[in-house]
Amino acid sequence: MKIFFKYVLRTMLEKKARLVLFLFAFTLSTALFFASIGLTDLIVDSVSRPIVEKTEGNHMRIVPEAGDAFFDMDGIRLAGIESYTGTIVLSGVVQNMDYQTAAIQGRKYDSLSAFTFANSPGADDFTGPKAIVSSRTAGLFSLETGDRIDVLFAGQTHSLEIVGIASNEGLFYGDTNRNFEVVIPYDYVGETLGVEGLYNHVSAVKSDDTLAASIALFNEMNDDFRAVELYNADLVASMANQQVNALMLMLVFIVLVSGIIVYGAFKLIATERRRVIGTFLSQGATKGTIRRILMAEGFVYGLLGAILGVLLGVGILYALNDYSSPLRAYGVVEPFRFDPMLIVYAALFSIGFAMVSALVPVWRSARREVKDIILDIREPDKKKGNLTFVIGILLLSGSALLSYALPTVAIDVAPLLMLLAIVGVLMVYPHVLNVLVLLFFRRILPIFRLTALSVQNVRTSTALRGNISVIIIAAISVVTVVSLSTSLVRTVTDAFDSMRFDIYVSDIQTNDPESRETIMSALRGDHRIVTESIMETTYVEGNVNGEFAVAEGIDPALFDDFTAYINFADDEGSMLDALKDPAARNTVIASTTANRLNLDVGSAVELDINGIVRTYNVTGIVDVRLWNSRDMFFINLANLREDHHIDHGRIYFDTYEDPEGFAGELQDFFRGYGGVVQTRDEARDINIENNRQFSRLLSAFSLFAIVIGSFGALNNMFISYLQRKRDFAVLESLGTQRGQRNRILLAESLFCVVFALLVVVLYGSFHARLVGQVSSFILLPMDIRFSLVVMLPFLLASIAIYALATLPLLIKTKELDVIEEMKME
Amino acid sequence: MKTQTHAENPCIKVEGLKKNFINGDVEVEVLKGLDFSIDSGEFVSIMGPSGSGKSTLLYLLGALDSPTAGTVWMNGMDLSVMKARDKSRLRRRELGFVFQFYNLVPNLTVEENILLPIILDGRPLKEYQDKLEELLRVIGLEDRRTHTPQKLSGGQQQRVAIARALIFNPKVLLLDEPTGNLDSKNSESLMKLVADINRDYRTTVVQVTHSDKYATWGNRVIHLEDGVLKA
Repeated sequence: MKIFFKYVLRTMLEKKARLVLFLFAFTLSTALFFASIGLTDLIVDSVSRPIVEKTEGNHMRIVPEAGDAFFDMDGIRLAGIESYTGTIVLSGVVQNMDYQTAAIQGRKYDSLSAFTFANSPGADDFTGPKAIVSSRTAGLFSLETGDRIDVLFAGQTHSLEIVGIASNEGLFYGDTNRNFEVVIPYDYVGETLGVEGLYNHVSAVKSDDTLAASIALFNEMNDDFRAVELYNADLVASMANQQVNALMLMLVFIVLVSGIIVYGAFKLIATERRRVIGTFLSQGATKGTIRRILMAEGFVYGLLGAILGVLLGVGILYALNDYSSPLRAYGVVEPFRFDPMLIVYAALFSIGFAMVSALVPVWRSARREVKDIILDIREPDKKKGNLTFVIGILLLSGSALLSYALPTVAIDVAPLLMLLAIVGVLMVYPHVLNVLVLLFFRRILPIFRLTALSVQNVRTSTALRGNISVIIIAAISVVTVVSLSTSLVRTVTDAFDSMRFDIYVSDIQTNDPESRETIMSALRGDHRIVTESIMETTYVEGNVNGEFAVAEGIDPALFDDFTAYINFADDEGSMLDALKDPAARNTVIASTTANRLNLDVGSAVELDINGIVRTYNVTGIVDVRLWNSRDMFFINLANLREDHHIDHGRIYFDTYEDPEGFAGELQDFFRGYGGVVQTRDEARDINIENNRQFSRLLSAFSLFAIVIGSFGALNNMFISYLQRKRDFAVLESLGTQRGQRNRILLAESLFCVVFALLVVVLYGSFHARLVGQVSSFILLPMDIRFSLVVMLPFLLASIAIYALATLPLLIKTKELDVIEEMKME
Repeated sequence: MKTQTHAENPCIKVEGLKKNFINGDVEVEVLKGLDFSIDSGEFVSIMGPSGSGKSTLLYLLGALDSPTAGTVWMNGMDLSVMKARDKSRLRRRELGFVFQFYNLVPNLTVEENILLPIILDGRPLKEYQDKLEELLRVIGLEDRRTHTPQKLSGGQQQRVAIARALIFNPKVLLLDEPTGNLDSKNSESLMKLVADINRDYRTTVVQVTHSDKYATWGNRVIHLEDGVLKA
């Protein structure tokens, strides 16, 4: 076996360009596989780490059954929990620090042991108007111990002395220049609010191995209190899955392109080595031995691809980790980690992929009589074209039928449907090409001569047809990514265009009715604002029986007119009519929410917001398309205020002034409340930019597909050329010049590209529909349209790339030795 | 020169051998029912014009192709009923085949090429070290043992091909136009080598050749014309 292994290695190193092609295809596919799988953990980490850090080792939140905002902790039984800590949590604004938003934590002295102090001269006497901030906050705002900050909370401004600067860990881990923690003595906050001895946030450490068991035990043993988890890991994971699914979609394209290329390259190997294979057989090798040797070669390529792919995958993940770290701007990058089993999965993927791609050509390599193999007598074409065509038509029409006739079912199997449709296209086009060329060849031969020969060559050469397949898949991947990106932008733009507002104020940090009323009075009294257009909404997280839930508080009388993006219409008018009476406690829920929580119209749901549970009746289910997180309970804003004590929110309104200039003026007013003022155009552009980052990632992978595709196309051109070398020698002996030969080769490659792109253009509209259904499958429902105008630059760029890929072939054909080729003949 | 033999236990026996090829839509009858036999230790040359079916016959004798009808008996074994795996073993152990274009494996050295049947058979290479040395000496390429075929002349490559064919001490050596790609000096030297092997190892030799001159190195000539034996 040692000699065979040496033989395999020598043959692999013999053709450097092919080795590079194989490594490129396997490495990129494996790296993308590795990165796609690893990305889930990475996103979960980047989202959950700041949340987990902030919990300071706590796992649960304890809320009173009575639903009081402030409550005492007497009566909490230590069942399912080891310990618990009470704090008062408020939001505030630091007025002398550029009106930045701060989270106020009223804490007792004994809870300060959780902090590591860089400097804490006054923390030992933690009473009165004092404050502790993180070293990041101190650095960002040039604060030192002894300095004073003016903090607005509970409707008053408090001048607090900095008595401690803590390291950026735990509670302070997520501090940014836009939002940071300020720890104030509990007694001082309690006294200010008049809630001494009461708390509004109690967190606890679990005592059981599992959180679920701890919560169950606590809830069983406590009548007056209830435990809920501090954050929902499943929800974070499901958010991550959306991006992972999109990457997986790109992986399918890259694997398809790579698979066809590797298949073609192994075919080339089998073709080139027919004599050697024949020699092995003539010396007594069995067909199994030949197949094992060739498969060993596939194994080694796969193994090398696995090693390089894992390295590249680790690099991609590392870069994504760096890129997605929420505190990257402050030099804090999440610790990079990946599951070591990923390496095993990636290796299995790469090796399996290499061996599966090689299987058919390798199997065919030793299928015939030894004499035919050794004398390189080609297998006569079997008439299997018609069967392939029929299967392709069935696949295409079947997927079209399902997609149009049963769209709901189609969404559930959308990725498979898309794959089958692409396979269908790949099976149908050779027959169409065959018919077209046979139809027009005689007519175009007298006019175009060499080009006509090229077209005929494409029809008859399996390798060149393989090229068309590769270009089709690469172009389809481009169509997919461009469609998704443009649709994403269009969807966001449409959504904003359908909303009736000029100015939008978000992040308002007041949570008391007085401050809110002050703001609203100011807006109503401003003659530059269209008073009747002022509309408030509130977006707040909560849970339903421990399952994550979001409530969107709206004014039912205004919201329907505010946005045409969501269609609330029902048989009796609008679903929102049912929300008009807050006493009825009705809710209209998003269809995503209904599916996730298994709710229907008529269901009663216990919505826990701000630790206060109220029962709501589901009176409507609506498709919210891409509105916010697409997963929400619409309830009357009055319910949020009166039942759940939520007073902060967002405000939308129209203005008689130029929105841009007016927004700038309003920003000064809202700064005191932490509010951010944006015009509709600004809000839309920020939203588009956020979505574009992901589109760019997809585009990068689409580019990979094109690059691999162009390498593969070059490889196929070589295969085709090698297979027809003797034909070219014959043409040369009949007087064909080198320039004419080059024209034939160039025309072949250009015809492949043009024909492939024609197929993609014809298939594009149906593909766009399938991409739309895939987008629904990955819970990012969009109306995808195929626009030739938008596609044109990308398709032209593809033509240029593939035309460039022909150049190495033209250089290589200089070496054609007519005498040698004719002698072999 | 004789054209037939009637030995009781021939090394090779051919009965009613037919081979047809499909050429486009036409079925061409290349061998039209041959009957002959070859004794152990004979050196037989098969001659005939182009397209007469010489090489086809040799490939059938070498278990590299399957007949349309008829039987080839090789050392008492019926090739027509043999499974592919058994044919492979036969090619490794009982037959040596030498091609006009040498057909050496380009990425293996002279030594490795010669040892190829042993490697394929899975036998310990050490056991065949003496045989390898002997063959290298016989073909005169002891100092080229680590060279790859590309670094050898045509004559040298053909000698390596013969050494490879002999490594397993086969009973039969089949040569397809062994001098077809060599100059006269190399051809002479090669034919002498084959004759020596036939004499020294008692190996049955069957060669296909166009050349009357090299055909006479054997002790019998079979003439083939349009797929039938000519007296």
